[in-house]
Amino acid sequence: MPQFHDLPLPLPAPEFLLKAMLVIFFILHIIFVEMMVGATILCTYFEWKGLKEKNTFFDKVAFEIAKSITVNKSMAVVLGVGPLLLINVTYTIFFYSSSVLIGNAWILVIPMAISAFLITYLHQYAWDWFENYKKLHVTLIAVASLHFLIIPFFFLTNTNLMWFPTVWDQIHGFFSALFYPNIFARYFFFLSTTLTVTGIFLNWLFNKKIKNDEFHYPNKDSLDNLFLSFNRFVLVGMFGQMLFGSVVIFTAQKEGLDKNLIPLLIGVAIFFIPPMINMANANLNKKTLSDFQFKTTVVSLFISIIFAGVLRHHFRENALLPHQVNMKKNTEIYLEKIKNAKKNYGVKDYKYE
Amino acid sequence: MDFPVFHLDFLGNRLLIAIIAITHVIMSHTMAVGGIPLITFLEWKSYKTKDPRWSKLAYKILFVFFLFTTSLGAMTGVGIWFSTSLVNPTAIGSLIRVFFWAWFVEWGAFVTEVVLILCYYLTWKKWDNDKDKLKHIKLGLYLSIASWITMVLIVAILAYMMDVGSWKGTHSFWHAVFNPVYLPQLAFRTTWGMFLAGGAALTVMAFLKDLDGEFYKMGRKSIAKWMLCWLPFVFLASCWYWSVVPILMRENVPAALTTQVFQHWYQGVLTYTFLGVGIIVLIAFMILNPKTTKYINRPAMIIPYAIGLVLIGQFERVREFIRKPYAIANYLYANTIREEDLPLLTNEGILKYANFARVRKITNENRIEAGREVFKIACTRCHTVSNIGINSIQDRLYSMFQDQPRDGEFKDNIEHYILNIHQARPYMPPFPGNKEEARVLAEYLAHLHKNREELLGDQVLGTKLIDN
Ligand code: HEC
Repeated sequence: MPQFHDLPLPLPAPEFLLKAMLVIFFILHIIFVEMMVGATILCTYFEWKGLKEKNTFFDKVAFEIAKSITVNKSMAVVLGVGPLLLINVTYTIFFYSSSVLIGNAWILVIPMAISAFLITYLHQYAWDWFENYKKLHVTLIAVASLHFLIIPFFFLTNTNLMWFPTVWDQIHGFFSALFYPNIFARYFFFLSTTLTVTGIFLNWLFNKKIKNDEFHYPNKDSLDNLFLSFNRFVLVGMFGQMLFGSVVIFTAQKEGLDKNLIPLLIGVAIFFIPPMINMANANLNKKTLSDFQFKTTVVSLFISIIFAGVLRHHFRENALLPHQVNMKKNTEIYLEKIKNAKKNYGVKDYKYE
Repeated sequence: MDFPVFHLDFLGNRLLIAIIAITHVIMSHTMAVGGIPLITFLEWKSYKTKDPRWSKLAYKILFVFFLFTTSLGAMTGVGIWFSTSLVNPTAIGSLIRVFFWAWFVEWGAFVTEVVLILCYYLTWKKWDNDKDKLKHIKLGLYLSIASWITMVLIVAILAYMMDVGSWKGTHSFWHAVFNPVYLPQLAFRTTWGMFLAGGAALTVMAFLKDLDGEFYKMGRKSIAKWMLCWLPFVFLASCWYWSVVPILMRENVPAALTTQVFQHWYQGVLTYTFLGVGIIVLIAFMILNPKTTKYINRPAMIIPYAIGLVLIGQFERVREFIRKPYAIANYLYANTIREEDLPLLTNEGILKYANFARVRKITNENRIEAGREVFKIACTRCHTVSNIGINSIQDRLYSMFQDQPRDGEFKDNIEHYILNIHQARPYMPPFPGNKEEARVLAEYLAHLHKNREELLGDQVLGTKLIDN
């Protein structure tokens, strides 16, 4: 087992509190990330569809979706700072070490996100200007989508690497860490969740816009079809979540597994059922969701996500536990040595003379 | 020494942080802390004079500030965390342990700020009527306060890095926050942010096409007045800040050196600052004077901001310089070594105790490798190896020794130099290893002369996990 000592400063709050906050704030962050990523991809889809079918309705839908990205991306970034702070403070040695080990890729997150944001701004605010260059305009948002499809790999690789210090000496940069088990399964799970969450978000967004008379549609049919397509995204996303979720579980590293994960997993599954029924219903009967169905879907799915977040945390704790115990011991030994060294060798004054 | 070593052998690690951090400072100071009050002021003017053109102008400026702060500004803020946690994880990790709650509250303020700026920006057109305008102006006021509060909190942390005050004895959070540099630095940043917000606004105006000529002049005038009103405060705050800087400097380094190296450079910064501010003020006065206003054409309106950006870069460099050789004053050196660890490391060796050293025991076979490892831990936060890198150690050695043979005598000299490195050049931290490690480092440095090599960081080479 690799041996490390921790920074010799106490945690600023009880460990339990820090970890609870980490889980909660991370969930808030990731939901906005999913809405941002999903909206960018679906905006590309609708604009492209409008262009191909020469249907301006889809172009209008794309524009409304594009406008939502501004808000969601700002919230995603700002809500990301909290969990970043918390993971920094609770898993200092593990998180920073894995970050350094994929350092070049890790720092790329920053310019890539800036570039993605600026492109989405250009895409949204120069919509009219691009009227006669529609292909170029779609390409813009497709490029932004591509950014958002790549960035998750950096995060997934880093967190995965952080959980398993025993493999650290086999890592030579980002690509050697990318192909560790589980990362791709988790990536596709993330994309599926993105589709689910964004489908639900768009359902809410367009309902609100119609209620406030901010979105005009040619006829009832095209509107119903629009909501049907949102619901189809949700259902496809949910199937993806089940499929890739299972792959994630079956390929999960054994260091993180224990019996306590089972009740959590059951929690995830149970609260996944009502949304599944609602969405299957809506899709099979080609109906839009009632207000009640929509609310139960959102609440139930949110609870399911909380279970998933706790499950993920528990897995991480299992994987890191032996290292943390060991590190605690090493830190005490190290501090003792420092104290003795001061006594035995004396403290030199390093002031410039 | 607690983490694997991230290293960029060309750019240098510090420059990476500098680029990201300075961009962030520019965005946040001039477009948020100073920018939002200026926009709110223009909006209020519209309300008071019942002239909607002010509101239109304010909105156009806000649009640009909004685009930049919510993309480049926000992400470089996160980027400071990313880059510092790669370059000096011990420093940022320690700071977060001490300042967690300050940072947590700061995060709350930051979330508030983002929510408010989204509301402020997105409701502008909806609330642009007699009934709602005042409400909207109030929103701008709250946003201004929230932006400033994020600065109030973060400057406490920056100030602490320069001078931990009495924290070192007590490890108390409040001692850390209310250290002697805090208030001067806060005043300094706030007033400069307000002042240069005018420069940023003029720059935006330089690109605006659809304002009528007469109002365009009124708008510029109003912004120029804004800048001049802040000028006395900028002056007072700068004097205050400047007066505490050398005291700090003297705490770390004696006056002799201050006069030698720093004074020279310090004078330079002062001269350039006066010159720069002089030009900005001249342009502001020329805009105000009806006789000269025609000479300030669109390109000239960009000059104040351009000067401001250069000055901000310089100020951050001063701050950086004052800190050396520390990352956290009197606690942690820039090379990630804690001062309190030195008695152990300098006697028993750093290779033995560094978490990720590739070499634990020095043998006859691994002397160069061990030397490289020591260099990596002790010197790479400030030096590169590649001879085209920034602050390259090969360059530094060449300028000291030229082609003098790298023989036994040379190695003796270097070893001696290394063991007294903090005396030779006080901006460098003391050598954190023992005598034998100083020797292998000297041998590695001699080896570099014949074998021009590049040093790759652990993000490329990977790491080794050897029990200590
Ligand atoms: C805190 C940052 C820092 C660290 C750590 C550091 N140095 Fe330096 N070093 C500097 C700076 C700054 C200079 C001056 C560069 C200049 O003159 O432009 C310098 C200059 C030098 C010089 C040339 C001195 C002269 O008189 O011209 C040598 C040799 C040197 N460093 C060796 C080392 C070695 C060996 C280590 C590791 C044990 C080390 N440094 C660690 C910042 C650092």
